[in-house]
Amino acid sequence: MHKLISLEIRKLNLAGMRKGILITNAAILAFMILVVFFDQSEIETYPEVFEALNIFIRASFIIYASVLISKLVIDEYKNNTITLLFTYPISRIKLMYAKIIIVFLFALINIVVSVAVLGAVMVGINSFTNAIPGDITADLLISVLIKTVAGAVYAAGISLIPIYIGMRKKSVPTTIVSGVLVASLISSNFGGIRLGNFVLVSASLGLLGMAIA
Amino acid sequence: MAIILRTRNLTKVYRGKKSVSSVNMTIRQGEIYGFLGPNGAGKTTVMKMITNLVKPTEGEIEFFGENMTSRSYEMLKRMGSIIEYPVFYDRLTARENLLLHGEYMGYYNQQAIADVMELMKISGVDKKPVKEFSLGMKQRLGIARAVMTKPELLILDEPINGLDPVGIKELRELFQMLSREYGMTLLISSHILGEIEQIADTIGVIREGVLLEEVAMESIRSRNPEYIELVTSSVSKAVYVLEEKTAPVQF
Repeated sequence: MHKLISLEIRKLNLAGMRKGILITNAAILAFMILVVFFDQSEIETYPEVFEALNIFIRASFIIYASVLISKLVIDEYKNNTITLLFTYPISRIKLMYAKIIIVFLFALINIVVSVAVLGAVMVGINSFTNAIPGDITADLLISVLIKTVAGAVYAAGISLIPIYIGMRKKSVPTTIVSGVLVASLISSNFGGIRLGNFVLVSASLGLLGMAIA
Repeated sequence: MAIILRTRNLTKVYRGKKSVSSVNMTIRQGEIYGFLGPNGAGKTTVMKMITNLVKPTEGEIEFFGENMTSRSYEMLKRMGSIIEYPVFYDRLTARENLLLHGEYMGYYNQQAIADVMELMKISGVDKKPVKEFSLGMKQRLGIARAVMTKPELLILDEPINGLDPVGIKELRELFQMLSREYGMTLLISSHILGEIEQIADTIGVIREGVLLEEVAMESIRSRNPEYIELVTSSVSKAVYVLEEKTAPVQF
């Protein structure tokens, strides 16, 4: 499995994606700095800051994951290279799992790392400006960490939903559009109701899609 | 000669239509099997079933005496194939494509890559991305990839498509070399009778999904001799008839 994953990664153009991820993160950071430090918005406390960060980052990486899916899965079907892959003495289920694991881990790791890095930057800036009241306590950090990791896990699950929709049509645009739709759906806040329950359903849906794929 | 591959009543139904019906093929070890038929006769479908890309609706395939199932992955190690047209990871170079193939097949021999590229006369372009290749070059690279792992059965679907006459001649020699020197078994499909005739040891003719005939090339040659023997009681009369009464065509 290890081997298959590394082979899949070799086929991807990761350098291009890395640049894109950096730019996205920079944009999110700039936006957060504007909102928190220059605009007197409703994002005032640390938990709120981290929550906002989480939402933005999750949404962007769900979209990124759909791009990755279209590269890894949909393109293979479109270019017919999947028939080549299927003539190899390797179980097809394993081949597909390797791809899905990449997408899942990609979303998971990127979300956690991005939240951690951007969060640290925000905290660092705040130590000069003191725009966010309150101290950073161990309790706060732990709860943020738990929320982030849990959120990243379900977001990674959700990011697999586009496989399902994309495979029906075998088209790259469909996959990415469905990724954008899913991302905007979960990151919009319906009148202050947390999307926790809905999200759990989505995560299991994502896993279901994985099983069927 | 040992039988390397055998199909029994191999049938494939696509949308209620039989695209392959009850094909019984026998391929012996070391021979070149020419698979002849017009476009859309079911050649590719049969080959796809042999390489486990398509599941037969009915019938079975026996490879090295073992029945093939949808889980027979080990068998695929012993085959090399190009189905329809060769596909590659376009953005990667020729060399990277071959390396990747070796990894997936579980065949690690750096030398083999250099050797096949030499053999197919594409060693000069190994650092070029495949998307810049012409059809003929892709075809060569595809054959290089299929041959690289030294499979026991080489399955080539229309391998001469897109090649120039010189390339076709080279391929013909290559196929003969692979068969004679490496003892490889080749299954080659084509819709061009002349091509198959020149290389095949056995010919299978398929039309509308039905395998019409499967014969050794030698027996075809002896069946259609190039001269006619006449038995006559009077030689001079026969000569007269032949000279005066038949069309004046000199063979």
